[in-house]
Amino acid sequence: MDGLNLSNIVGIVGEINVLRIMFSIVLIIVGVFVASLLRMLLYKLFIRFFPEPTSRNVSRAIYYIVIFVIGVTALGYLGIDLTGFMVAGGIIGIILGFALQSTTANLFSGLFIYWEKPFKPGDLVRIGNVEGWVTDLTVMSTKIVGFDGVKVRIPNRTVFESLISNYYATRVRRIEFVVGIAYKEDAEKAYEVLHEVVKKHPLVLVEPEPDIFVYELGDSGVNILVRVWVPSRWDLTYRVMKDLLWSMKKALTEHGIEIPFIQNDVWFRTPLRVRIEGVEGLNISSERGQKKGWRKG
Amino acid sequence: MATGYGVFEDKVVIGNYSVELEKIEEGVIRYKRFHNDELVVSKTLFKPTRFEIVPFYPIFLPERFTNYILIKLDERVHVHGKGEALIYVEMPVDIAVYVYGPYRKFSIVDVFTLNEVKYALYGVPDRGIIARYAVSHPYTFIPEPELGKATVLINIRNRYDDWVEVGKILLDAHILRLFYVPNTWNAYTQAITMAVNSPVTATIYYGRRIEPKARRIHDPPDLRPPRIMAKTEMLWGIK
Repeated sequence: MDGLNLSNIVGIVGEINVLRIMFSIVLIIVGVFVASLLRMLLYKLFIRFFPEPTSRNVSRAIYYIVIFVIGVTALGYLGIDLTGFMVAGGIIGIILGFALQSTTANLFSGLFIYWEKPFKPGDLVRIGNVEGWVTDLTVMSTKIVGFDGVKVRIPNRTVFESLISNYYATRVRRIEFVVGIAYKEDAEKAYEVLHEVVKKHPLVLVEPEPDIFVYELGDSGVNILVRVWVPSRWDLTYRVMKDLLWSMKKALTEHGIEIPFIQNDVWFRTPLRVRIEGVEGLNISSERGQKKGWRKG
Repeated sequence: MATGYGVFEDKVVIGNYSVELEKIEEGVIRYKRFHNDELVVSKTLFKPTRFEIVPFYPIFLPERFTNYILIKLDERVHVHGKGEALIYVEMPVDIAVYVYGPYRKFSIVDVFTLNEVKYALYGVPDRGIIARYAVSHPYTFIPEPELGKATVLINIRNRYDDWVEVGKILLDAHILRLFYVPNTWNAYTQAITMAVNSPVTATIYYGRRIEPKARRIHDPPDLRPPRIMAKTEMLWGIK
């Protein structure tokens, strides 16, 4: 960096003639004008694809880069050796590159999300394990308000790499209910009862048709799957979720159809001795000759 | 006691419903709606000038989330190439109670229905339309007016060269207009033209009123028809 000592600066200034100074000034003025024009044009171009803050920031960043290049060119024309600055700038650039790696990743992920538009503010989405309404989408992060009212900020890099489900991307969505009936019950009758309940609900769509069928012979009963299509707007979906399961339960009970609860038979390998307070040595045996109950003491 | 659409002053019975106006004090009215004699709605209104019962667009219950009405025909209509067919269908209408204040400004006090409320998806899940769903028979004559229904005249024009089958009609409540004959339960829409462009697509045009004696309802601001000629495209099937 010996090019920057006092005698060298005096020498450089001495070598600069007025014409070069004038030309450099003109270059800077024209350069600033061109950079401003470029910023305006790029802003108008970007605004078609990206939100306003992103368009403004990106066009402004390009503007400063152009100004920097023009400044370097003008100083170079004056004969000022900027090699040292360029080397230092390069090193600083590498350091900043490493330091701002995640920031840069978030920035570019944000730009890709803007471009791809998997969701927009107001949509109900699931990003990874977070579910809620998108409230804000910035260059660096996406903000979501969950069902519990908690606002979550997700870095755009995480958003970009996550599975995204957008519930508002379609007009309708399908929701499912599993209803169990006891093995002794008539599944056909249960089907009719469930169909009637589904048919009565105003928010269950007629088309696509509801689908009700026995889908599993479970451990405790016959499981019937009820699939219905509803408007994807959450307040309407939620209403059907709340109404339908309870209505189906009530209707089955009214028609005397038993909904089984889980029953477990516990078999003990060895006989058990049950002692009841005050009755010494009382044994309670199971029907199959095995001891059943609980051991005390 | 009034019996029909239009202005009422004390009580109206509409199917299982009845609506009543009770004067609390000078300039203060309590609006009450009963269903099978059970009070379901009660509102207090200050300085209303008059109340009116009108047939209303069937898109407000249980909550408004669409502008469309899909009428499915219980019998499909076959029209030959370049041919025409004139049919009447019944469209469900809800009942609205308007209250008027100074300068003819009105507000909707209550909306209820005498019909089963169901909705359907017209089209595909990601780009289709959710519409209020109703089934009607395609009549070749004007059907007897029925409470809770509006008569729709549909002129099916087949622009296609071959026979087409029409099984459904999509109407946009934003463009549709409703009319009623005062002191009766007769309701009508304007004449509808369904121009069939292909075996799966059609364009719906909205014409003029079909009943000269009928009076047009005042549309709420967000349902006022556009001033330019508007139409509805049926892009996802007409069967």
